[in-house]
Amino acid sequence: MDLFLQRLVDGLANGAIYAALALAIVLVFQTSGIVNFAQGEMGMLATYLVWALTDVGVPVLLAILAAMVVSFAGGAALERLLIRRIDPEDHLVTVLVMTGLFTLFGALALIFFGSDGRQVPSPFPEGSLALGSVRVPYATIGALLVLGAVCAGLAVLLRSTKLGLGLRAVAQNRASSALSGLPVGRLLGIGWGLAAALGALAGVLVTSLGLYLEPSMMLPVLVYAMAAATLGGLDSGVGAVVAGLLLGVAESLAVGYVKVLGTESALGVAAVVMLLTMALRPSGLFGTTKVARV
Amino acid sequence: MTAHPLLEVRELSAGYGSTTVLRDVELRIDAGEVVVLLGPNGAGKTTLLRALTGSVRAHGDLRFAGASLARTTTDGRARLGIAHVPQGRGTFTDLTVEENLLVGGYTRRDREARADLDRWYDFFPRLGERRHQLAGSMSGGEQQMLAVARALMLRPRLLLLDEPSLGLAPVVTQALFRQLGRLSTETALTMLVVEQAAHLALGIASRAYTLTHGTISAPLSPQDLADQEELRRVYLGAAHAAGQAQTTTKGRTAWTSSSNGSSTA
Repeated sequence: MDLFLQRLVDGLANGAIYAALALAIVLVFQTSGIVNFAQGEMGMLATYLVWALTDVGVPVLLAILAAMVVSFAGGAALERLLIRRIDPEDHLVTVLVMTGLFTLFGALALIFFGSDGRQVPSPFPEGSLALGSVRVPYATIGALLVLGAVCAGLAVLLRSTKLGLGLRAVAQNRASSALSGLPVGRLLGIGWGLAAALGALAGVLVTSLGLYLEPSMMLPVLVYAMAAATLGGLDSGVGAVVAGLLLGVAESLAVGYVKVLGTESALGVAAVVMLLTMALRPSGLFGTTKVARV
Repeated sequence: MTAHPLLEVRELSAGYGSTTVLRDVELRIDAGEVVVLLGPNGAGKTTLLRALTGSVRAHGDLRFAGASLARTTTDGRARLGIAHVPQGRGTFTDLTVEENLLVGGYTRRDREARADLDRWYDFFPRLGERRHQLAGSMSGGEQQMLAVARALMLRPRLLLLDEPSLGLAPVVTQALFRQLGRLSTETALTMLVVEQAAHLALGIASRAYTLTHGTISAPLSPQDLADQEELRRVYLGAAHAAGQAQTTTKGRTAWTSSSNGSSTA
């Protein structure tokens, strides 16, 4: 039982990261109708910024904040300069552009930073909290608290502010939003910016769990986040978070109890979840089924 | 008073992709007018409204209160005061009625927008009753009221309406046009209405144009319209003439009296 609980706790840490990145993917999909494959790589680049800043002596929390601000600006700029030129209905072009960005960001990291792992200071204290015989690392508690704060912040932003109303309106009906005079372009840029800042946070959380920073760091995270976004429903923020946590736990339990699965082959869990979702419930657990009313 | 008409369109052509739908359209709307655009299906009426809001490819001279719209985007035109109630209403179905209206008033100061909410709840009491309900759960007629109210939240100088009667029961359509007529008389709101229910639309119109195969007619005064048997047959529809003679007559009576009203005013 204790082992089971320990695996549950371990899974929640990863789950919080999957949830954060899945939330970023959902945010972009909702506003632009595009699935951003490069979301994780953008977060990885932002984590390099955190590393570079802390390397020259900037306090880690300040470095994270700076990386989020830069990511926001970068995400908004990317939307403005590139994404706005693509028609999200043109799936082939969208996939090509997103794959291109994914490759580009990975290559940039390799060129500038090489493939050596770097240690990024964690914003959380070392050690863990003992609950009976289950050890809950402070990093796990930290990751869950960050996720909770992000969810609360996004909920307040989207539900109770004028900016949030604008974002929701653009997400639902871009044409009507423009006809109502909403600054559609700026709102789309803000959506991409918020997602990029969230991706940066996900990258930092990965390194705070003790992983080394390297260009391919976010790959497994992206696969799980995509699976979480699919399972939760691509248009549901709540779904992304719930499914992200679920997948983290599922991964941890699968690795723990299914002996043939190593950490690498546990990616199969994500693939199976995605395939099953697409086959059984394409709109996801929390997603809305699209009904066209004529 | 300005010397310019509120909207002036010259040599407008517009279309989708490589297809040209509109050719050399000339149109002029003065402040306070209600202009009706009639024409058979596929003539380009919707395209014309979309060209005015900048949602389709268009060439030609578009002027709003004397200023060219050539470089103004769709949302920019809305901020200038051109509101469009599109065909199919464009409702934000997953937002509440009140949120829909606040989106409509997004470009205005919060306090003004809030004040206007009450005004339109007063004008469309159904919307007030359902303010916290999701817009998608309302009936077609209520959604059409909402679409109009959302457009009004912009405090438009020009309201474009694309077939507001589409999919509505006749009695609902009549109620809607009564409200539109009230808007015109009480607030002198300028409107351009595309409508198949021509007898109702002409009831509130000061002028009309007809659009056929992408080509627009000269402006027709109410008197022209009354005199043209042929036009009535084509645009008011043979079915109306036969089956709904009562309504048609009533519609025309209303419109004749309103034109009398404006001439004596």
